[in-house]
Amino acid sequence: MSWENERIDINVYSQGDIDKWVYSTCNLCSVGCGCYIAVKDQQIVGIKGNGAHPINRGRLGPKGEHQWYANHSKDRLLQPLLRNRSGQLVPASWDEALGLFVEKTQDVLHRMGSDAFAIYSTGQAMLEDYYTLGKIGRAGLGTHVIDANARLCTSSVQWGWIQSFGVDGVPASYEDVDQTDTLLLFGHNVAETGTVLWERIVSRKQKTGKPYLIVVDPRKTLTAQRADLFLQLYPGTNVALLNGILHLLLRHGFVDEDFVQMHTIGYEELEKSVAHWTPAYTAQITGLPIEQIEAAARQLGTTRSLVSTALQGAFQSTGGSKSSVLMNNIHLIRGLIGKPGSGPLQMAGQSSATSNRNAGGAGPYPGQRNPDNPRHIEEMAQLWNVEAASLPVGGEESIEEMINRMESNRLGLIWNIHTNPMVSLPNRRRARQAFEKVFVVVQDPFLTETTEVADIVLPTAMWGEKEGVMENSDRTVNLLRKAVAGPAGVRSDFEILLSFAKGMGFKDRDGQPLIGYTTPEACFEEWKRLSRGRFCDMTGMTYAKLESHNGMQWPAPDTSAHPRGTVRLYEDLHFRTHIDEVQSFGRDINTGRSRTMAEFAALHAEGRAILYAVLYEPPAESPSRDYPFWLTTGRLLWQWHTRTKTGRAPHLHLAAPQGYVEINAADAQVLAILPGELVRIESPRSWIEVPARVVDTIQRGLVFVPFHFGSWQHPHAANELTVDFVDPVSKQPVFKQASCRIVKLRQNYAFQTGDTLAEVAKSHQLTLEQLAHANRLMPPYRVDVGTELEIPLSMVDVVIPPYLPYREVDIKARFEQSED
Amino acid sequence: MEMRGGTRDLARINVNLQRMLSLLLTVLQSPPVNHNPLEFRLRLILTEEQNVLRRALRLAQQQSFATSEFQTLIAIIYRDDEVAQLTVREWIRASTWARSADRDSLVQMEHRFAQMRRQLELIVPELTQIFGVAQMRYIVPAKYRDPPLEVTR
Repeated sequence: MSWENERIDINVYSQGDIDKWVYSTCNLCSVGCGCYIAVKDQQIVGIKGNGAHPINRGRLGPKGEHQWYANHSKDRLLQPLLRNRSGQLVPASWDEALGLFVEKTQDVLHRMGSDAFAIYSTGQAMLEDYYTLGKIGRAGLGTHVIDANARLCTSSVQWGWIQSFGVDGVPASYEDVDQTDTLLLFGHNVAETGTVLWERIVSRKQKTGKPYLIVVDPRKTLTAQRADLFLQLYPGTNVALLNGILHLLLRHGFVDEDFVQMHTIGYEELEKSVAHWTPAYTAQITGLPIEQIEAAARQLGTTRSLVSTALQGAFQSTGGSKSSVLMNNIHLIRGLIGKPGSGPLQMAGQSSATSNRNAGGAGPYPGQRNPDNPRHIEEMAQLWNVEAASLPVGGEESIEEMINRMESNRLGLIWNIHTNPMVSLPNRRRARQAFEKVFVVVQDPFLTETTEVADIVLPTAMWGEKEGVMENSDRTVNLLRKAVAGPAGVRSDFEILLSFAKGMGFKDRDGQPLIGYTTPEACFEEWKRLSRGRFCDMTGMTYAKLESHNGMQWPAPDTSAHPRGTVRLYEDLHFRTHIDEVQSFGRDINTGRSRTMAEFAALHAEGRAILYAVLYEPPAESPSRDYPFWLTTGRLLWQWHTRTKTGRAPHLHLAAPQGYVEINAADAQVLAILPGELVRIESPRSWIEVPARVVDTIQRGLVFVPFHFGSWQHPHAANELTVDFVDPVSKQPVFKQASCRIVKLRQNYAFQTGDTLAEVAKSHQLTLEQLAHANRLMPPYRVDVGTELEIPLSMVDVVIPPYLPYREVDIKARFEQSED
Repeated sequence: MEMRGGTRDLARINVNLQRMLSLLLTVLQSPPVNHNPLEFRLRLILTEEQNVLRRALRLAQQQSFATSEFQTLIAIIYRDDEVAQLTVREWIRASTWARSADRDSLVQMEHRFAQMRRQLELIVPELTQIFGVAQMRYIVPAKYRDPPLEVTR
């Protein structure tokens, strides 16, 4: 077990003893912490960490500790809603709502065909939901238009694994983090997005000095502040930096030639592609000092073990999937994969996004089966007992393609499950207009920004009110027991899926119901049979074992001698690149064009990993004269996605109640912007008005807006501003690079006879220094009568509190507010 | 694989692929509009597509040829068009926001790419004659096959 000591984090609000603790797993972030849910009088009253769980040894993050409050929210939906003729959502019975859903579905299929029906789901549901959804989508509806919000966060790493190794699946695990000499955190602010994992890293570092931490980020995040080497590169230059590092690794001979020879293809092309990425050229593109690039390459070239992780700073940037394969390239040319303490560990963004990918709720067919491989289609037809000709062939269409279908009248209905695209999609005004053209079914516990465009709203059970399994970021499959029944009137996603399938009358080729199981556990047993022999084999798992072992890592075949499954992939150095192993034939890394089966066969990878030559492509939108700043967006420690859950937990809400923009202190000085002053951020698409946080953690010329805040009533939504461009390989949107400008919002005050600056300041709730700074006055502050003074329209003190448990490990303040 | 279609099918395919090539060349031979990175990527895609189209046309004009090679080339053409359509939509948005191309250029580009897609949709029946319904599902992406070819649902 990796942690030496357990520490049970607990948050219970109960009068008197609780009745029972129910085994579960945290449903926020992708770390996958084991926990118990406190139940009293059939209600969830708290949570505590599971001290025996190897991932967290009882620790919980702040969001995890508070996730149960949303279950009690007074505004939970308790019955379905239908939009009436006057445009209002009105209560309806489940029979009415599901009846209308089925009727609309049949109409769309009849009039427009299968691909006019879209499914857009989540990365926070159960594997059993995803598997059922995939079966309904493919064998029932026959649609290709099936995607999930994982597209927004992990699609690039999914494609990184597929491109390099043939199949999805993170090679390393958290145990390797405990053993590695060097940890590369690439665009991964783990201190805020995965607090428990960060504690694990920092604890070891404090005790042993290891691992050597390299952090790559345009912002000096809390993670970056602990780095041994921090590379604060220009926005959108990840690929340039990685090419530059590869250039140096090759130039200095930091190459495991035997490994490359025996276990990879594509080295010659890679060598040619990085030849011109000299340190000087890399420095010019990335803005990094040559010495830093060389230091990074030296460390990565000489370390005996290496784990590289990445998150949205890589995946949501221009060239997300390129960055992913370039990190894989580094591991491959150094032969640092499949060994203790070594391997890529690029993370997932959500608690069960990887389950969705493997179980077929989005992406390939279940069990990482390739939708372009006729043998896999035939196999699926046999496993599901349906006609092969009825199963859709070819890759799924992404959310961007769904939007395009809506705009061009080629989509009739979208089934939106546990996700809030009206806040989370880039360029959300365009997305809203598109959604308004089709029939929208939303499945959610609450009214959200997306239910505003819904025609049917189906209220769902939440965490703790349903059963199933989730897979985390290191292939650990964890169980969640049902702690309580949901409130009267709600149904679990699983129950809704089964009702829909029954209503549609989906049958197999023997005339039996297509969905034959009735419980999540029975569904899991069916899914296991489909996973047999595939890379993500889970036949050795049962609900009971998942609970008694505190999670198991796939592959875990029933023939395995390892009770907890497989810690790391590719220890046998057999990469899954034989033609019937791959889950896709891959795509051209530079254009995104899908390879054909014949092209893939011609690579002759056959068990070897694939190295890629990658072109650097700058962001498609960059600062200009009209919009001189870079805009980047991201997460806060205290909030999760679009706040449908964390916004209803009082502690979390109070910690970070509103949107803001981070501006570098020097930029604020030049623009004479006060800390806390309300400013307008304008991009070529739209605008928001938020208070300014003036900080020294962001580089000059770049502003940061958290993406959690998206109410239609308040102009705080980061995705009013973002571009809707996607990575050509993964189709993941580029949220991290757009252009914007900062506009001050001020009123004028004419300085009058008898006024003093101090009085003017006071009358506008400002200090003299604030008034002077806003007007660029120098001491001694004097103005003439009639001078027009600028008064900020509004001031909001944006204080993000430190995360207290974390401060036991690290006493640094979370953000260092500028002195200015 | 045995060729099932007749010379009339191949002739129709040839005509449409020729039109496709002509449209592609018009775009490729025009000077770059704004040097946006998306425009660079688009040209990368179109250059490959042009080369593959030429190979497919040469093959189709022969008396007899390897159907498997023709099938692969056709599959690549459709897949190139898929990413080209996505990229051109993005390029049009980027150019509009940056005001780096005049409206007429953007409309013209949109029109040309719509025509390209149309050419590929038009030859689906002939390709189906040649390759058969079952095989077509692996050659031509579903979005170009309208109505869908799925059966027995």
